[in-house]
Amino acid sequence: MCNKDDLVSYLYDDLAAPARAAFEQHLRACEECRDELQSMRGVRADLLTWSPPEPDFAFRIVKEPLAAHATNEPRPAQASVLRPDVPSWRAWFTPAAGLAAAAVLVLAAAAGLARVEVRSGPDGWTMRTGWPASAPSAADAGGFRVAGGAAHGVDVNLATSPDAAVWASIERRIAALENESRDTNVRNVSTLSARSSEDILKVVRDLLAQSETRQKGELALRIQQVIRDMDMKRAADLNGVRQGLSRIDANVTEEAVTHRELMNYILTNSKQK
Amino acid sequence: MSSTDEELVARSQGGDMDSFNQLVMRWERPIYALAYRTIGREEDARDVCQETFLRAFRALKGFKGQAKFSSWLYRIALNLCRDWIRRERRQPVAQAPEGVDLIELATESTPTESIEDLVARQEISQAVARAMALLPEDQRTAIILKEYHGLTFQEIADMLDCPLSTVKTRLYQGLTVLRRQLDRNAGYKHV
Repeated sequence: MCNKDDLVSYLYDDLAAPARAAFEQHLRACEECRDELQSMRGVRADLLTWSPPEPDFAFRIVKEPLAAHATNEPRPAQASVLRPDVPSWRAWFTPAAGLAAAAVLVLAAAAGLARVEVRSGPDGWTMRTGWPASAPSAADAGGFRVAGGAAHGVDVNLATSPDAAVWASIERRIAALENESRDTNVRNVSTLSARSSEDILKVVRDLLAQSETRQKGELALRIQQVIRDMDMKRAADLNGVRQGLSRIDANVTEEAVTHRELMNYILTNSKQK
Repeated sequence: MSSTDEELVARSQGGDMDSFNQLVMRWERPIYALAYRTIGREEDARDVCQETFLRAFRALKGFKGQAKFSSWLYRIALNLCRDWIRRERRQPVAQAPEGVDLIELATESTPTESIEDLVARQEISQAVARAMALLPEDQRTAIILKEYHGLTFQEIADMLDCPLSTVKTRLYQGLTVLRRQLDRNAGYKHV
């Protein structure tokens, strides 16, 4: 009866010299052990082809904060795993970064929609909003000009208002105020004009704020939609790549099998001849 | 000159986290490889690897150096793998790489290796993974520790708490079963 322990020890070169010599002598006489040894060497060679995928952990152990073990009870050392940031676009696209990007886009979109234009002139610095193409001029479109002082002026073009009804009511109110002002003395007119200007500015600011809020909401929805679309497209692309690779795999395997069978056939025939 | 495991362990026991993290860097790949080959799942193997080092850190004060630090780590990792297998109540998964990435394969090739050889090697690798997953746990563990981690019979016996002859028997049986499984695989050519 052959000693399999010795066979394994010999296979892994773990026999002392005398035992090794004795087993080699046995091998010369035992065909079964020779075959087995040969076969196991083949398995060992095959085992070497199996390697794990490359890991991407690179984690580190860090101590937990002192507050975590403030009690007096004896405790084992506290620790946790620290994972490094993954350098992928997803990791980069954190909520904070996303919000910042969204904020910039909102501001840009709001500026674009409102067409904010700042310029200096003989009247001092002037900020103008609105689309001149759709509304030739503030005066032609029945717009109005609010002068904030000698050095500052703000032109607001009502033709681009998101809510025409509101603007119309403002205009009506202005007209009423102007009519009212005609019946009073000059000093009162001046005071009233200043007051009405403040009111109008307040209303305009409120409307701009409302519009901005609406645009922010819409922009956030659009951004979410874009991210969803990108994810879906990416998943579909990955799926396509996987399927393609699987097909290549299947073809190559099939081809390899065919070649192998052909080689076997040729070898068998040549041996027979 | 780099410090030995024993030196790093001593410094870690004194509270030096950097020393312990040097041990992590030194042993994370072997521990991950052990876990991957034992349970067959990349993601779970990573988790086992992390948990191994966490447990080692927590128990470091109790490590008296009776065994090598690496053997101690291997033992922790194997226990975690066993827990995983019991918890999942299933055989390890033979997780073959998804498809054959020829570009990746080509980068692994030696100058004399043709693409046919590469594909054949990949096939063998997958066949080995499947055959290993079918082995009983004790035989698989013995083969992994011996073949891939180069432990001595005595180290394996100590780690698995079994006699030396049992380790050899498990290896013999495991290799025999593997041979049979691999031979059954049609279209498979041995290295």
